[in-house]
Amino acid sequence: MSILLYIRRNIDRAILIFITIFMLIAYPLATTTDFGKFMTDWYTTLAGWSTLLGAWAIIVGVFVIVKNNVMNVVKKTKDWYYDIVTLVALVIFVGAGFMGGYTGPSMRWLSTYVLQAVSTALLGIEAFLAISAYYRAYRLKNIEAAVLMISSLIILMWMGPIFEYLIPGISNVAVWILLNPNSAAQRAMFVGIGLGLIALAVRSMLGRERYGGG
Amino acid sequence: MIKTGWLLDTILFWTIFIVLFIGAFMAKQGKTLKLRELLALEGIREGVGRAVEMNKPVHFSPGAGTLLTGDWATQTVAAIGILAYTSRLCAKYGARLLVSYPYAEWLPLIEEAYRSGFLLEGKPEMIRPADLQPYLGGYYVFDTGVMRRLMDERPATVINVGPIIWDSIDIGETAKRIGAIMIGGTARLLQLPYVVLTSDYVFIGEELYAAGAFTSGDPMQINTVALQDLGKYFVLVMLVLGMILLAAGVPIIQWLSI
Repeated sequence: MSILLYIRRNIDRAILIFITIFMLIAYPLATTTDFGKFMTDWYTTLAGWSTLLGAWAIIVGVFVIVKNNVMNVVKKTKDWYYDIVTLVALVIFVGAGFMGGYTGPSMRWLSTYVLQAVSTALLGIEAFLAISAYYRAYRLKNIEAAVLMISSLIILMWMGPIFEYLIPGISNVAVWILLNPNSAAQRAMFVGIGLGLIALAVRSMLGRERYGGG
Repeated sequence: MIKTGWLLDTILFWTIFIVLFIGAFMAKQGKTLKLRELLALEGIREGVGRAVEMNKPVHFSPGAGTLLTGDWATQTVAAIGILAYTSRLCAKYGARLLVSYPYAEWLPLIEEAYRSGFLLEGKPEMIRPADLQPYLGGYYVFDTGVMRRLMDERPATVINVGPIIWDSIDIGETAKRIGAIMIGGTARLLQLPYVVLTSDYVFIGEELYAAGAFTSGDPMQINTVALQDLGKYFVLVMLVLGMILLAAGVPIIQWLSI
């Protein structure tokens, strides 16, 4: 294997190993020392590169959207007229951006009266979807479902002020559930997730995690 | 000045890091540790089989929060590993695979993972570029786009794993509505209850990171996953020891804040 080919095959892993070790050394150092400040500045710069990548990727994304939607319109696939709506919206938003910038009046109008309205509509739908999910989960199929249902009901009752009047002390039980079993389970999950992250980093550095730079 | 509480963090981290490295190299001497099967991976196999039987597609999405920074990025990397596995299964058994994703930054990796399965199984004719659909512009756009796609295409199996936001509810419930098997998974604690609520099979927390290693069958990767359990026992011992020392009046709180 030629040296150039070897470098080409391993350059991504070399960058990954360098940055990982760099971050690990930077972690325990505070910003008050000169060396620590230098490391923190570099950390910020490196993190900023991802934003740059994202900005370039938007161009690729817009290209893919245009290509897919135009192809759907040309081939007259199912509901192709919605693709025209997407393309028209894309042109309007890009045009508004060019006219007054990201914070200009046109973009602000579109954001307030189109994007926010649509986003709020989705939030409204989410409430119904959540209720349907809870309904399914709260059927008393087994002991775990029963525990889930009872603890959720206690938390729900805590949220409604009338229940504190009807069942004195319900808020104490709810707070105990949140602070004890709930926190304990969450911390156990945190430990597992942390270990999983370290293992992923090790696999990436060994070149075994294919999509993690390995 | 050194950051407060750095000493224990650093010692713990490096200890675990080195043990995992040693574990990985143990595999080279033929010492492979055993793992239990992840139920959610079994679910993916069942889901692909179901899709083939019903002559319907499989839908995959890597969560609405696939950003390039922090643990969002690592979860996306893990999700893309699962996509590669799903793609290979779909190619092997002849199921169509639909992929939706929310950020263009990941397009090259997602495209490669999608194509790799079909190429490895020698079925490049099954690759359909139009099946990779971006829904850019944040999670509202992504969620509504995927919900519409699910209603249109009616897949037999829906897989939504990675850094999930409220797509846990949106995609999960839409999958139920169309009668699909739902496989979810995330390491985001805020969303995990919703994922469990809406999914038939779940990658819970660390299982998401381990899934790629499971599917690879590579002894080096498997050893790193198996040794995570050693880390958990270590943390348990530390907890019990901490409680005993604290009860005995030893000022460990001050020591830990070094």
